[in-house]
Amino acid sequence: MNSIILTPKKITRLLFGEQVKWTMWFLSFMFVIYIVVVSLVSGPHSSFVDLASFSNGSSAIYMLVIGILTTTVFFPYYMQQGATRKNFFLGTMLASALLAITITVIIILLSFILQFAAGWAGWNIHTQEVDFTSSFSAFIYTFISFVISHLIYFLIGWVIGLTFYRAGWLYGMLSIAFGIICLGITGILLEITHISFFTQQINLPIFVSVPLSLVLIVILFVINHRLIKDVTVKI
Amino acid sequence: MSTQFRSDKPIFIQVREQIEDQIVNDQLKEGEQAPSTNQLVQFYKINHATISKGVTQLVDEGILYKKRGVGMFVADGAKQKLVQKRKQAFMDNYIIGLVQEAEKLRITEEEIIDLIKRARKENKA
Amino acid sequence: MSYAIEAKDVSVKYKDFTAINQVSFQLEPDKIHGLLGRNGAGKTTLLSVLAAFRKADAGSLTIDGENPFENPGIMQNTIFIFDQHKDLEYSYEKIEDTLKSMADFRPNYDEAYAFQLAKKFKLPLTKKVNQLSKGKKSALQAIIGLASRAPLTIFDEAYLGMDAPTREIFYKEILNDQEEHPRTIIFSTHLVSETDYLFDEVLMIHQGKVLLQDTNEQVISKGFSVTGSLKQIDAFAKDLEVLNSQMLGGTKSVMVYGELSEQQKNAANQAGLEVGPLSLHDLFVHLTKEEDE
Repeated sequence: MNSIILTPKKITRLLFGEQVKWTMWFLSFMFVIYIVVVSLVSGPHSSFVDLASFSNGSSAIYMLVIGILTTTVFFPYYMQQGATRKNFFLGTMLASALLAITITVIIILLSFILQFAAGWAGWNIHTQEVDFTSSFSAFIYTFISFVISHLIYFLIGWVIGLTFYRAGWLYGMLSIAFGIICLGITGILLEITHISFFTQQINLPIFVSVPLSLVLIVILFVINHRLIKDVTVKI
Repeated sequence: MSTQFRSDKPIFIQVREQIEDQIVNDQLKEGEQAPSTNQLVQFYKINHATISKGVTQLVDEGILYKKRGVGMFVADGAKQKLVQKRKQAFMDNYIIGLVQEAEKLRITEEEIIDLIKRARKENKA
Repeated sequence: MSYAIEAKDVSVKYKDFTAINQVSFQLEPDKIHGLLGRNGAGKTTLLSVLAAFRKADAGSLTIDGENPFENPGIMQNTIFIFDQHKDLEYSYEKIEDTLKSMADFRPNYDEAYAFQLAKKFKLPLTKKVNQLSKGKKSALQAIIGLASRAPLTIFDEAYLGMDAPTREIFYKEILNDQEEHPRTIIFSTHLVSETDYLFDEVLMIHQGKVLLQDTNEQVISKGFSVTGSLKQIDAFAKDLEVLNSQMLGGTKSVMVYGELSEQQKNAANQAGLEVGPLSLHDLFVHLTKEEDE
């Protein structure tokens, strides 16, 4: 009997490696668009939105898509390679958390570089609600909510993808409705505004919003686990 | 299933006979390595068990012997043994029938020998 | 290492259709098992259960004495090769990278052997997987299946798309590598005539049930063709299980399933009937014939 070589840790490493490759493509693409938009629409001397605000929406949607693709692309692949559903689940969970952190860090770095370049060139970057650079507390809060919201988006995508895979289109549609509700809740809790139940942004204090978002993460985690733990691998 | 086998005899016997033929006509010499079971499976497209049965008989009769981890070899004196066995079989299968038939047709011994000589000549030509 | 398999009353249902119906069998380790069944017989469903791709709805299955479902040790040592062309469409990896990466997943994977095989199957190592032809994709899958040397190796019609010479190479490699590194191989097919010699054992399934299981030799030894005049054959075959009969003028030929006793053989000889063997292919075709065919 040989030891288990396809551990959750290894799956995390392999998956994360693959996801980072995709993410580098995505972020470069997004950065180029940002620069193009900024230079075309705003011009160097008018005020424009900072990179974090600009990317917040698109990178969260990117995570949602990766979440959906996890079931269609990565899951069958790893099952074919002899992984268990449980180890794949744990590996994916860890990889997606790492990915959320990585994306946040990269965007922060790019924001700082831009801020610095803008200051040097005398441009005026208008800071919206997603704010990394104005103060240290703003940085910490934005960092945390950025990571959490990206993770939640990933998990929502995962639920939708898994439900379609496991239970077909009817339940899949229901999972989309469920996903939209979760997106709305995320919008209330954190500074993500894809789906908004209220026209006015509700500013919950951090000691309420962060624990509540963690609860949402746990709920999504459990749902995904229930969906994957004995799912049939389609061939 | 391969068409090179006849249907009136078990296939493992036919496999055995084909190996014997190769030894008798010196395609396989004594002391040389004989084809492995696996090679025979692939050559004849006959399953492992059937091939093994034929080969095992040859090993039991001392025609082939196994060297552990190396393969199967033609035993010393294998050809002699086979020729002996074949001569006996020749007697049983052909000569006795020939003599019986000749007697029915009242062909004399001299005539038989003449006929054999003629057949051998034709065979050579 | 090689796995023994035991299935007891295993059933799989899709809504109201029973794909596998209380199937029981044992597969010995170190053997090549031919899994024969027609399209829709339940081959792939059964193999999915063995590979822990799905749970059986009833019954018990053990591989190496353990339940394979979500069993990390058994699952990493079980490789299931099936027609994967759809999945491979999205693989933008180079062949050589794919072949190298398998070492991450399979404990017994032999990379050097995989590259040797790639040469034999003439795979372009620097090409991307999705650019391969159908036959070459199958070859890549076959290479992975062989080089993983998994204690349970399942080939489910893994030759699809390969041309005849490539299939020959595949069969040859199965036999050669099996000799050096014995494992439990399940080879599922409905192309019996060109693969019958590979099998040590035969498991034939039909409409979700086990039709027969035995050594290849035993299975073949139960089939006969008997040819003679119409009258004689009808008399001879009266109490036998006749799978198929053909007539040409006054001559009749029947395929019989079951062992012939010495008496019956002698009777056939005396009556001047011609008795011959049946191939596994003939047996398969006629044993799995439906009523209306």
